[in-house]
Parts: sequence; C-alpha cells; structure tokens
Amino acid sequence: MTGTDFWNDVLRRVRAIDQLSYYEHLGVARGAGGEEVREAFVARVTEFHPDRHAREIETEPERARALVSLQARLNEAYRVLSNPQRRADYDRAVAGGQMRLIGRAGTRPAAADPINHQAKRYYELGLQCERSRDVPGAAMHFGFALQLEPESAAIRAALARLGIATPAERGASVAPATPTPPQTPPPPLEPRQHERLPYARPIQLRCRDWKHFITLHTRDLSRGGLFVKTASPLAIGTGVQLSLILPDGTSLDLAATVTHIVTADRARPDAMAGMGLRFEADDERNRKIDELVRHAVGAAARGG
Amino acid sequence: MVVPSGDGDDLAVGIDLGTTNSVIAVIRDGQALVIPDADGNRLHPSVVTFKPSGDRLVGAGARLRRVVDPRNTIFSVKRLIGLPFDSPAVKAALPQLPYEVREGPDGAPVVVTRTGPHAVIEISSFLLGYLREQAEQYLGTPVTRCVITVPANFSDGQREATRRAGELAGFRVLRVLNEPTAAALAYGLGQKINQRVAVFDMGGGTFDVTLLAVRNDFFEVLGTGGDPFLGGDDMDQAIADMLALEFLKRHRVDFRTDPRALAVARITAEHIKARLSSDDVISGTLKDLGRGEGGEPLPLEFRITRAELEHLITPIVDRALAKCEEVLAEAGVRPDHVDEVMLVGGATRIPLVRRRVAELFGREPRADIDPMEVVAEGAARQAEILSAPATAQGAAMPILVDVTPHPIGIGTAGGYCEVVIDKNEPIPSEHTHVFSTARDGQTEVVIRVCQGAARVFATNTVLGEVRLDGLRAADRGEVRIEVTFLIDANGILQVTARDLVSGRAAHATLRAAGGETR
Repeated sequence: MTGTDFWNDVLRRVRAIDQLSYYEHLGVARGAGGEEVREAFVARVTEFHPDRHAREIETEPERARALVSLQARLNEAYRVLSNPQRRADYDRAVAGGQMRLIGRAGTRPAAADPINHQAKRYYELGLQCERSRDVPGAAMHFGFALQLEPESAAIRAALARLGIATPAERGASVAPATPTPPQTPPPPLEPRQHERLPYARPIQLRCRDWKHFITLHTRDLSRGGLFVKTASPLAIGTGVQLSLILPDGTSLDLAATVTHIVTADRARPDAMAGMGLRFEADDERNRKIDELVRHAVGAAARGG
Repeated sequence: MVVPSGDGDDLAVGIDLGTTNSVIAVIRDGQALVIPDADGNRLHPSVVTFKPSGDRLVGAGARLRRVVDPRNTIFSVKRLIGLPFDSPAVKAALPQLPYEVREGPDGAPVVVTRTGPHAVIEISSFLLGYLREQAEQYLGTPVTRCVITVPANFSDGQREATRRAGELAGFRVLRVLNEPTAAALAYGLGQKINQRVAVFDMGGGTFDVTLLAVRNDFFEVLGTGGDPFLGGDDMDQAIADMLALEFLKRHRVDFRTDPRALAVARITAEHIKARLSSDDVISGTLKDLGRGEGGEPLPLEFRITRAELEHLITPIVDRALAKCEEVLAEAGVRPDHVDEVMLVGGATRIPLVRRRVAELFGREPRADIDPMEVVAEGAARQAEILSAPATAQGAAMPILVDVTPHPIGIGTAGGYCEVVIDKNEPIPSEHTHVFSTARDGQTEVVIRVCQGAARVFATNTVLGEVRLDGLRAADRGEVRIEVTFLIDANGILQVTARDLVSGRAAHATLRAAGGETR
C-alpha cells in the first residue's frame, strides 16, 4: 500500500492538484449525493491521510509535505461539496473554469470584462479616468465596480495597476469578510465636481468660534468635501475646522464650509440628517485628501 | 523503518498538560494505562517549586509548598504560555498569581524565583520532564515520543509554545492535539457507532466545546469554540473573594494583600467547591488568615451551602452554556440532534454544570467517562496511531480530522483585515493568495497575520508578520507574490512566500507576538 506505486500516485495527484476539480479529487460524479461524497472522502482519507503514514514520513519531509497538501485539498473539497450552499457556489465557479472556490490566480481564466452591466459601467469610467491620469477618480470607479462584482479579475487587475492591493481572488460564500454589496450603490445623483464614496469614520469638528472640538461621524467622502451625520446641522455657510485621521495615523487639519444640510425632520432612510462640508484646502492638503480618498477606495473595494 | 510500537525507546505517551493537574497515559496491549507517581497519584499537580536549597520539585510534592513558599511555587503556567506579557490574558491572570512574573526580553512573560528568571516554556518543560520521568520509572523504558493536548481554543502561539516545551523536555512531539477531540477519540474508538457527539470540556483555566461526527473510527470535528478564560479557577476565585469579603466585614482586614493568606484561601476554595459536589453544606474555620492590631491571629468561620455556591458560580456556567449554543449554531447542529454528550475536565463534576448541560441537550451526559483521565487516554491513542508502523496501517486504524478554532486574517491597505482561513476549516488546511506590490521599486513586502475576523485588523489578536525582502525592483503591481498559509495538523500556522515571476522562493518568517522568531 505504501510502495513505490503509492508514492508515484501521490506525486501525480499533487502535481495535478490545481488542475483537478473537487469532484475529481474525491472521485465522485457531479451529481453525487451527500452520503456518496462522504464515503468517497473517507475512502480517500483512509488512503492518503498523513497520519496513516506518520511513521514512514517522519524522515521524509518531501513526502510528508506532499501528503499534507493532498489532504488539505481533500479537506477543502469535502468541506465545499458537503455543504449545499458552498457546493452551489462552487458549481458556478467551476463552470467558469475555476478549480477552487478559494482562489489561486494561476487557475483562473484570463481577465475578462465585468459581467454585471453596472459594474461594467463603473469599470469603463475607471478606464477613462486612468487614461486621463486621474488616479483617484479611476481608483474610486474601480472600487465601485469591485463592490458590484467582487470576483472580477479585470477589476482587481485594474486596481492592482493603480497600486491598490486587493487580496487574492476568493469565493464570496466561504469568505464572510469579503466585500458585501453596498446598500445603496452610489450612482451620480446630482452634478458635482467629485464623486462621493462611502466613508464612515469619526472626525473632530468645531466652529471657528468654538473652544472645543466635538466628534461626529462621516457618511461619505469625496475629494471636494465630506458629509457628516448629525441631528443638528450648522447653518449653510458656517465655517468649521476639521481634523481627519489619515491612514498612516497622522491627522490632517482642514478648514471647510457647510454647503448643504439635511435637518432631522427632513431626513429619510436614503438621506440621513447631517451636513455636507466643502474643503478649503491648499495643494499640500489636497494631495493628502487624494491619498485618503485612495485608501477609502481601497477599503470600499474590500467592503469597508 | 518498521519498528513495532511499544517496543523499547519507541514508546509513545499521551499527556494532558492541565492548568491545575496533568495526566500521562500509554497504550499497552490495546488498553489505556494511566501512569501514577511513586505514591500512586494518577493526577500530577501542574506545580513546580524551587526550594531554598535550589532543588526543583514538581508534582504532588510541589503542590504542598504553595502555602509555605508561594513566591517560589509556580502553578497555572498554562494561563501564561505562548502569550505576550502585555496581552489581556496575562494581565488578567497576574493578580491571581502570588509569584513574580516579569516581561522578558522577547516580550514573553518570565517567572522570577529564588533561582532566577525562568521562561514560561521552561516551567512547562519542567512539568513535562517530570511526567516523562514518572513514565520511564513506571514502565522501565525510555519514553521519547508524545502527544500533548491543548485547549481547542488555544492560539497558534500557545500551541507552538507548548510544542517547544515538549521538545525542551526531550520529547519528540508527534502532535499537539485538542483536548475535547482527544476525549472523543478515547470514547468512540473501536465502537461501531454512527453518532454526533458533543464534548463539553471545562477544566481549571479554559472552557471548550467541540462537536464531532463519529462513525466507525472516523472522527470528523464539525465545529469547536470556547473561552480561554473560563473554568474552575474562576469559581475558586469567586469563592475566595467571598471568603475575603466575609473576613473584611468581620475584622476590617483585607487578607488578599498577603500572598500566603491568598494561597490558603484559594486552596480552601478549591476544597469547598469539590466538597459541595457531593455534600449539601460545608463549614469550617480558617485559623490564621490575618493578624489583628496586637498581632493576634484572626480566624474565619464559614458555612456555605450548595445552593449558595450555585448562586455564586451561575454567571460562570451561564457563559459556558451560551458559548455552547453558539458552537451548535455555527455547526448547524440542533441540541436534540446530538446523540451523546461527554463531560470532560474537573469543573464538570459540579452538579450544577451537569444539570445545565443536560437541560441544554435534553439528555443526560454519559456517566461512564472519567472526566479527569479521558483526555490523556485519547492522547495516548493518538500517539499510538502516529507511531504505528506502515505495515500495521490497515483499515483498522482510526482517522481524526480536526478543525481550525479561529479564523486567520491578514492586514490589508487602510488597516483592514482579510480572512484567509476560516474558523472550523478541516486541518490540514492550505490556502494560497497572490499579492502585488503597491509602490514602484518596492523590494520588500510585509504581511501582517492575525487571529480573528474583525474588519479592523488592529482589533484582532496579532500573531505576527511575514517579511519578504530582496524582491526585484519593478513598477508597482508588476511583482506578484504568492503567499501560502498552511495550518498543519497541530493547528500551527506556517507561512511561505514566493515571487511568482522569478519563481524565487524567499525566506519568510512569522514573527510571533512575543518577539520570538521561529
């Protein structure tokens, strides 16, 4: 059982590990039922589990590593195929040529354009920005696109071009922390110079004539300004001082003006009470805001 | 290569390295044999003392010195092992320990006694070395191989530290095994059953619950969870606090400032807790917990009923039960779908605990399992499996597939966390992620690894970081790095990194939170 034939079989399986589907790893048909999947798993494990060869591989690290990799893949296959939801997700993934539900770039098909038409629209807007060297704009549009289609290799590649690290591709169902679809996809509702981006953070704010800062929470951010949630917004035209925390932990102090308000009695589920602030920033500060926007896009791309 | 197990220096033992007590067992002729010390004690107190002569004493003899020499008698090191000194777990443990614990140069806690500083791993290795001696004396053969059990909720660092303690004690550590899983293995082995089994494991320091599907010697863990700061010690502390308050009321003296009095109160509390598992009431007098103004000893008379004890420990039991329900929900198993409930660990001998567990599952827990010895027995079984020669690996050998107790995540831009390995994934588990550089000319990447799934990286427990340098300088996004995360069968994480374009595998080390490099 553990002769040369066995080790040749193991090596063959490990070499082909990323070319075989979970079904092939377990040796079951696509339509195999739960009990059949389990029996196949038990049979494979009985044959290949490292613990069954523990004594033999104690002095053979390469064989040990091969069995561990093989067992890890059998575990993964069983975990996915024995759970109806994960299995349904996998069947969709495998139809697209993906052999694992959790990604490995090498096994993915070449980057194709996004499928979701809205994602495609944002993706194309992103490409336009990229061509005109508008990096924050491109990052933001690609970020929106990725929210709508987290699996798209093309969008991830685009973000990677901009230097925004997106963690490797993964299936939505096995990763609770992967991007959740935005509650309200942010279509451009009104003509404004800069598009807004979800950005929920505490910030420090005070009117020019106040002694103390108060802490408020933001809803969204753009390069031009941000929206702060509050039940008692200040009057339009009021000048305020802001203090934002940048991704590197330093703070950015800014002047801003209240440009529009939503009072508590006019608030609706899609328009919360608060006030929109326009930044009054110099070049140096604008550069920092751009940086912040880029990070926020990166965060949005991961569901932040 | 083919050496029969049980032959000479090949003997492999199973060790339940407990917070309060440890048990060591071996399989002889198919039967589990628990190894006693020279006085016949089958439970070996997890205590190390350093005598004025400089001699080291471990086990039952050391336990007696907790009262007479509390500064040099070290117990409950399982609460410290593999954790950074500044971790919340260590901070919580320190007020309850009468010996000195300092921050070591590597950020790990160091125990300071009259013989100088000792790393926590070293103290654990003294315990393991003592157990090894007991086994060698009892069996009359060298013992070099072992399986050591740990709480299922132990982190990567705690597992690795336990493994290293075993190696320091001269063992080849075949496996770091989860305690509840070991218990299930001891229970279900060789039985033609097809059951869902719940193991409720409440020891001195930690609480675990694990669900398994057991079928014909195939043990599949369905889910696990626990609380690393929940156990019998907390009950002892609650009782000791009650005694202290009573004493304070009576004499206006808080004896908790005196390590010796505190040790007496803790030992009395353990005794009260154990006695009230069989008796309805316990009363007695503690003679010398403190001194009055004239230096006269102040006594404390106490009388505690089981109902009073149950009232006192209900919050602790409530927390365990809530965790239990959470684990069931995560595994998608209803309480009434569990076929057997096993109780493991000293705290499960408490009638309130047994009653509440029976209520939750709607069935009585098995009464024929020794909650103190079953874990060591399961460890011995696993040691035997891992020592069996290839020729013996027929269909009769059992197989165990355990799971990851915690999700593992990595830090991403903006301070977020991306989960790379889920909780309850069968182990070994291997995942590969591809990253690209974010800056032009970047020659180094740092991948921060954490335990936990909170969105903000810093709110998770940081395990360490992988640094990969010597990348070729190129435009951003061009250098692609493949990072492989492997959780081995010990539940220990290994991270390796490779430059995808050049194919160069770069050296990557996970720097543990204590600053230790491995």
